[in-house]
Amino acid sequence: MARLIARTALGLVLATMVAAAALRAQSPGTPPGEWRSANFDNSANRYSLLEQITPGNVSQLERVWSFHLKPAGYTGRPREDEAIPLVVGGTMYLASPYGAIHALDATTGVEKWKFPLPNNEQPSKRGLAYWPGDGTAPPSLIFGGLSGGMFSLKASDGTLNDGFGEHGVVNLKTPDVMQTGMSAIYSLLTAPTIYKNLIITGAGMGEGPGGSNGGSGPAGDTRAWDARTGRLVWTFHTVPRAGEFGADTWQENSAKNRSGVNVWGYMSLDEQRGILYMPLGAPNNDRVGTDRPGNNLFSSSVVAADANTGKYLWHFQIVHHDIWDYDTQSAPVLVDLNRNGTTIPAILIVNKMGLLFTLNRVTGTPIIDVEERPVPKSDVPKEETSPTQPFPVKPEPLVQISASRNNLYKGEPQHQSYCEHMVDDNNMKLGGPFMPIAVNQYSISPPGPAGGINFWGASYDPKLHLFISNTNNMWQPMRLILRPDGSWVNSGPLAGTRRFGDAERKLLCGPTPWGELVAVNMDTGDIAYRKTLGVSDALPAGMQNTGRPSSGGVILTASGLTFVGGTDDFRFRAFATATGQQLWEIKLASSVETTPITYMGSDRRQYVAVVSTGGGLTGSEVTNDEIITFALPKR
Amino acid sequence: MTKSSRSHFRSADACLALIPALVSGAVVLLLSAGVGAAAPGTAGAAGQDEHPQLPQGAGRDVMVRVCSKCHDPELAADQQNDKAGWKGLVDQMASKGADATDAEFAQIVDYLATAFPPAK
Repeated sequence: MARLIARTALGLVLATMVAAAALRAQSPGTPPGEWRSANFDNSANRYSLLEQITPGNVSQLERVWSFHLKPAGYTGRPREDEAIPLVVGGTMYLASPYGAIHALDATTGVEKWKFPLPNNEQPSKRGLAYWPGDGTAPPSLIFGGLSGGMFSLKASDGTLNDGFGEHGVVNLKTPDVMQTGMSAIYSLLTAPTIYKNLIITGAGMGEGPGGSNGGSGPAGDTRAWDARTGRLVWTFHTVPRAGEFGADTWQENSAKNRSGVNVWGYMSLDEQRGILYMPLGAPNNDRVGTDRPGNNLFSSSVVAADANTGKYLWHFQIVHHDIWDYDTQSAPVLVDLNRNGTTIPAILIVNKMGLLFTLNRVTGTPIIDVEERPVPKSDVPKEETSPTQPFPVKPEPLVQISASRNNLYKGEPQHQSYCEHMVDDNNMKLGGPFMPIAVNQYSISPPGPAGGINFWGASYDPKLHLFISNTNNMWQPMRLILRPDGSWVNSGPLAGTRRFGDAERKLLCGPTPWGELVAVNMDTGDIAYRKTLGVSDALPAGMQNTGRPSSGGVILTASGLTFVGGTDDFRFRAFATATGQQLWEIKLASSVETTPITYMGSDRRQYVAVVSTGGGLTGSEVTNDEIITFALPKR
Repeated sequence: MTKSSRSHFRSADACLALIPALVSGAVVLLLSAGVGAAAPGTAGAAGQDEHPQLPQGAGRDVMVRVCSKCHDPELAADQQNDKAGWKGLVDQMASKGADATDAEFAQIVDYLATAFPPAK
């Protein structure tokens, strides 16, 4: 019963894009030599105009300086860092998991100032934001503390802005979002979005425990705050309240006190039109929806809203009634596409499902058709899964979306046997896409909650018209069991957090590649190339080119380069964006589990910087605490 | 392979914490008292156990204290693992910022392995 829900009037064969027009999607006024926000700018293209490092010379990159985050005298366990540094006015700003914000000379690495958070607290692990000031309040750094505060520091010296909130801190744990009590967990997890004098924040409250009351907790609302004072300006209810659009998608009063449905990743924003794009997560509990019949707007959806007021404009739900934890947490990528000579403001949306949706970012209507296709029904009592889910007609899925017994890992006999036994001995149910979690039986429906493209998102090259991203084929068994209180929970030694693979040898059991670098030609919607990304050092020579799971995204440069770390093989790599040919690689002391940046130093050298600690989505060992910079040799 | 490889492919994506949430990335981590921090504890004002899903046992209090700074400690009740499995998970929590001594981490592992062993 495939139902075509949208059809482009302009067809799928597209005219050549005009580069100048494409560049308009990027935020105006972003200095080309800086890296002012986590995803470079609010368009989330992560496309730097710097061209000093080229495909022809990238192989000459060498380490320049590094900075250790671990403070002297620290004796605890090493900590991972997923934060993306910023570079503004020659200064690099970085949030450290060891409880501080650092400002470094971006050219030399010499520390300018350090702000230790009070009470031995940690800053939000996924970065900070820069607000340039307004003439009355100074340029400032904005970030969350993990106990629920939002800090504003003077970028010049790292002191708190006394006029912001209470002595520089706004308490995000306000009664309107702490709907089930003030003691629940709530914090700002990622860098907020800056628009004019607004700080726009998502919400972090975790995914909650299972059980009969597992879906309730703090609201996932998106909010905007005055960057000068910390005053709350607007609130968008991510779970509609009574009378609001979408409230009828929560049957049996199931919206009440519902938690989840939060932006825990990164948002993007069309600065010229003043439109905010919120990628929202699944509802709590994100594996069991028996207590929330309906499609559950705006869960696992992208919502466009007026950035000045928070007023709803349109939404697109990627997963109806999400019981797989697919979320939509990466920043939607703003691009301008040319169709038959007409420039169309577009938005590219990906999530852990590994499907790429191409929509008009003003209207929300698909530019490339989207079909509602039938998917399996759940056999859990009262679990009313959606009979269909949306699929774009192009491109093909970026990752593997189904599993079968005859399509497991094949290669090294020892590991192949391990995988076959893992499936057979545990009577695993394999299927997909969108196969519901089985009851009392381990089941795998790729990509699963650790697959696809997670919160780091994708990038776009407006000259080459290429969407670029690293992807994960990292599957995860799940199993529902019935608790004594009558509730269902995903549980078991092979469920929960366990990946589908040999944990001892760090080898996955799905078919290779386990990770790829994927490019999509946005003129046609077709895959431009797929390149295996990452190596398995544990396998014998000749069998190591498996690809590896990754966390942390790619960045692009106008010279035609793609940089990406992310993989858990400790490598940092550069590719030719046009072809996917690998041009450079270095093995580090740990994996790079975050997105790199590039900027111009005061010595007129282009730098590429990575935070390298290990950790992240891949579970890579935390073996380092450095931020490392690279540049071409001095002439 | 290093000894720590055991923890690989367990968890994580998120910011810290959790257990089921580790698979997706939507996790929260709170490590210290600060603005509006929750006060971990096992009993409410009326003396009622706030964490009925957590059976009594040695190490329960330290588990609640350490883990509550980042997530609802009852998340643990969703999981079943042997001791090695729990150690791998707790090690990941430590790398994500869970703040405890090695002795306390060992107590937490022992408690979890006793309270939530693999089902038959």
